[in-house]
Amino acid sequence: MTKELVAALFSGLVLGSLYALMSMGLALVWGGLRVLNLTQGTLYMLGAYAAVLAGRSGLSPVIGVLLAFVIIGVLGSLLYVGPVRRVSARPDHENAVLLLTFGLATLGEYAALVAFGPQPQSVQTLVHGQFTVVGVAFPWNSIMMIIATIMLLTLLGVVMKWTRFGLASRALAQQADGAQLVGINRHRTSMLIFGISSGLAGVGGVLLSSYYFVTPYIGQNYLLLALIVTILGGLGSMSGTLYAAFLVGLIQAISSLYLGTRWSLPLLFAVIIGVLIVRPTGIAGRVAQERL
Amino acid sequence: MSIATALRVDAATTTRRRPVGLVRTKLDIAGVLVGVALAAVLPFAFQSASLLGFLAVMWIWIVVNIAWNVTLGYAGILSFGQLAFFGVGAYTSAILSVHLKVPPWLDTVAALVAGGLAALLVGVAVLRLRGVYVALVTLAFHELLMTMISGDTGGFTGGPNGLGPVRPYIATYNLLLQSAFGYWIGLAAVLLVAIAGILLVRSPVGLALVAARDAENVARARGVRVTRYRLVAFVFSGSVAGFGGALYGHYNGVVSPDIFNFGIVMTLLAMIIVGGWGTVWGPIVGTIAITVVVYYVQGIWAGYENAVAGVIMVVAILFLRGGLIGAAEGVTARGIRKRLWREPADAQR
Repeated sequence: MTKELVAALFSGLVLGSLYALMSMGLALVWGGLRVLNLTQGTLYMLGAYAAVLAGRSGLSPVIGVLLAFVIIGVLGSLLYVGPVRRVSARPDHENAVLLLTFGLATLGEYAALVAFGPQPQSVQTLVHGQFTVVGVAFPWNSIMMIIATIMLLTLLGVVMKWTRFGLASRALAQQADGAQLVGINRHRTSMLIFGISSGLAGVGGVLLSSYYFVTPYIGQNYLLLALIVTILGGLGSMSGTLYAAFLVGLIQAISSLYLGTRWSLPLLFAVIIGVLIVRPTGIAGRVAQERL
Repeated sequence: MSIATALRVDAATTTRRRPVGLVRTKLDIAGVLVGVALAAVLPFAFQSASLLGFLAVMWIWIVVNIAWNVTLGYAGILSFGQLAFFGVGAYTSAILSVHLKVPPWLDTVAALVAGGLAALLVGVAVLRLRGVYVALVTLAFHELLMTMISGDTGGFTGGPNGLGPVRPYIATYNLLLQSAFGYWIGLAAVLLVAIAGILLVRSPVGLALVAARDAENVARARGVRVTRYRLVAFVFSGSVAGFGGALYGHYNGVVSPDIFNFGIVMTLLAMIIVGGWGTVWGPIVGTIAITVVVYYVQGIWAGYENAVAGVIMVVAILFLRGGLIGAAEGVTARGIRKRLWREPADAQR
């Protein structure tokens, strides 16, 4: 039994790092712009397809990761420059952006369906081999995934905390008009935030593709899990999102071990409803103060 | 806060018992009656089972959209759960009908109650929170239902293959008559729900909902019980969706997880947005408009109707604020007056 438990805990950590990468994008955009970007799941899926294409053309996986970051990042910035910026001036822009990105996400799915077909595709693992401790196999690929996530998120944390860009995006989140008054370029900062969060989704997609099959529909599932993580962690709180991602991954892995895979999603849903009733702003979220 | 919002808050808190906009309400109800009467004779003109069946589904979507518009447009609650509540209703009626042989009319009532209960459960958990949380939780609820039902291999819900056959309300062997019955039943539901919707949004409850949407803190400060009214709107919306789900199940004969397809969510959203949300006629006009488009797209590019609806939705959000109804209002005297009353920051964009 301990063997299964160790294996489940490990797969929980792997899942958690996948969710962390993806929900960090949501948290980043919410933190800077106060909007939710529902295209995140679709961008994730497109990142996975980038890995498929890179694998087919025989490129090195490292270049594939970089390419996915750049291509999906540029796609995300374009998303801001085009549609999102257009509606961002409206008084109800929070809802408008949500609906807009929902529409674009579904359209992206159709585009992938036309371009790549519905059949699942697989990609070679980035790193081969595994090692065994107490009878449990630890593939190097999964270890690499956890390490890559931790490195990326640390880098992101450093950027958000200590650079002028990070300062600017936090200022925008607190008081957009005030930030603009002191000379912060709102649209450029927002575009960068969209680009970086989408790039992260793209990298997440590449990492995911070495772990699961790739279909045009995977975006939906991961968006759902990212949403659960984001609610649990508190919107816009990066540390809360990180804890929640690993918590969700572990809950999922352990509940599939003891209750079966079918019940892991209902259990998670019950957990978020419970958390929302007890702590409406999530684990680490703070109540946003609004003026009349 | 604009003057119009302030007046609305004022009216919602001071004229509790008096109905609002009585003349307009009567006009709108008269419009619904005339429209339904005209539509009721249509089956005699188009004697095509497939066309009538297509329009029967359109009536069901109008029912669902009128209710969704109450939460989305009037209350400003960003709920993506409408199709989930629709699914709750469809599955409730199908399970009762197939497993327990309950008569169709009775299981439709059960579906209505089940949809309302599901909305109550979700609503109690999220309606105290900001709008985005509602969107997240309802979306998660939708996904949860879809995953649970399509992963069910026990046979209770039929799993990925669906559950059937669900008996129709009125069974005949004549195919044309069968479609016509579906059409008329859908139309009768539109009549009921449209009038209920108009009465709700023009009641003090509806006024309070709009006031809370436009200036939540002001409305709260003036004593409007924002959360309670939102819950009323949410439960109304959910139970009507459940009702629509039962109609759909009985019309279609089979209820399968396909009804949770995100393409359908998007098509329904496109209908409301293109018509113009937060207006009485928006969802009705929008549903008819998108259905016409879908009808023609089906002939040319089958399988991508929902994608086309999505493109139309994105374009409508970007370039057609207020939808078709908003565009039409822009040229009438009432619309121009309304624009002058809008907040300056709002009007200039």
